[in-house]
Amino acid sequence: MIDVSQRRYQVIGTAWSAWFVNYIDRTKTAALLPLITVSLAMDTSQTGSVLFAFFIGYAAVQPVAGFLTDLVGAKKTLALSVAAFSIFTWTMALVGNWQELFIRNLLFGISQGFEVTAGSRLAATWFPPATRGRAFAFHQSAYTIAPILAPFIAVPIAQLTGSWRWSFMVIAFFGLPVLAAIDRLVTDRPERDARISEAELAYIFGADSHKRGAVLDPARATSDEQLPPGERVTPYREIFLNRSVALMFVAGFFGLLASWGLTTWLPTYGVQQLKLPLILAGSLSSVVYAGSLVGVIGGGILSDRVFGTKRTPVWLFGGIIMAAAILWATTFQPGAPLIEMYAAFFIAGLAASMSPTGQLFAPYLAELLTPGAVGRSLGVVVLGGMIGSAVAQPLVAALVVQTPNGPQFGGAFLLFAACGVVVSVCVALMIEPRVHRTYLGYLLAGRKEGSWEATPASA
Amino acid sequence: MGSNASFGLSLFLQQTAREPADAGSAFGGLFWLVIALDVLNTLVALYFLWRIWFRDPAARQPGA
Repeated sequence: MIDVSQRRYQVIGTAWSAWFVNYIDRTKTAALLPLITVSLAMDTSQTGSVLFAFFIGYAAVQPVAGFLTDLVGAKKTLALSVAAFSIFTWTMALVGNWQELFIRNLLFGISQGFEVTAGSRLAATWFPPATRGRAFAFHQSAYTIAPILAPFIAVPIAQLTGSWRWSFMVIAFFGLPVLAAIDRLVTDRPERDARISEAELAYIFGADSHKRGAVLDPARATSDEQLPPGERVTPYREIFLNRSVALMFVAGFFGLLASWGLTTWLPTYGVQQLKLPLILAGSLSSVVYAGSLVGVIGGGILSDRVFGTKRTPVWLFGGIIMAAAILWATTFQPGAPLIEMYAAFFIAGLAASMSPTGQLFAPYLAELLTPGAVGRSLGVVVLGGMIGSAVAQPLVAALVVQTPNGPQFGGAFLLFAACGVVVSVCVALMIEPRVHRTYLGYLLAGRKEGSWEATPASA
Repeated sequence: MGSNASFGLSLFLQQTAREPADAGSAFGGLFWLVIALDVLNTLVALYFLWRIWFRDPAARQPGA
């Protein structure tokens, strides 16, 4: 049973809330977009530009967000992200044309880019390796729950008030209790928290719990003795010239290209190719998110309990299984059984979440490098993912083939499947710190550990 | 995102009147209430941001 008086649960709960409101805004904007585009007389090109602005702002800020998180601490960058949510959300209620919306979305993307690095670093710092996978799985569940709940919050407010603008006015206030919680409950590091018990410190850091550390930045320390507990010296070259981090960047690009491309276009595919009623076509994306929720929670438990805190085994076959599910979906034609469609897209969502940008990335980077370098390294990884998300939209549009029977999405689905295979290949080449070699190499060698060491020479 | 867009589209299809682009017209007589709420929201958010960035009581000093 979880004891909520333990400080680590309060910290991860607050980070979850911040991630949740971050995703609520993204998804409620999408939910109300058809109303907004009519109200502001936007054409398709302008709508595409507005959506692109968020992703490109989010991507552009990632390297900076990672550095700032490691430099000033996760608490401050988390607060910056949520305060920006509170302010930018109400500005949405006052926009009068698409140019204002474009600037708002660009600034919003920039400000929201700080949350993922901050939340990830908190999870990596506050939890010991034995439970880090499950703790981060809980954090990541926010991005699967928010898209499911957002329509049931934003749309009823718009219906009740008769205006989409009131949805933004009301939801803008969601950020304030989260800010209060950050102020009250979050501290950057356990050993610097005034209210943590000695027992909890010992649980998190073991024998090192007495350490304090005068140098907080693992890239600037010259010996492990200078650092807080749980950290080791990690020079910049080990962070940025690291084979596994580079592979995560590539996997992030292809993984999020596929998952954002799929969820954004699924309702259109359902209506235009499968001739489904709108509500059923829309439910296909909800099924993908439901699969992701199961995948995220299940992956954390599998990693911690079944794979002995190894992270890459959970990712290894995610891309290939996603590819198989999407290839199955290419066979669907009008009249196909709905249960088969739901099964295929549930599996696709579940498998897509079992990837280096879906889950376990904070524990993995903390163990490959050190918790104090999670912000900077994750900034690189998420940059790749967000570039993939941004290019997904025009790429999918270009791959949809117009036929006498209506648009056909087969080409786009083949692209998503290929992306899944690339993700699995990247994971197969990544080092698994627990076995000191790639996990595939470990299996092929009869479970014999390798010689990789977490030192600059190995980077 | 896609499922949300379709929910929004359903709502759109139910609505017959197009909402004006001008927020002042859309909010009507409540416009100044909206502005007051926005100012309040911003001030509270900035207050917390100031506390967290410049007056963080929860953290111990290094080496403490």
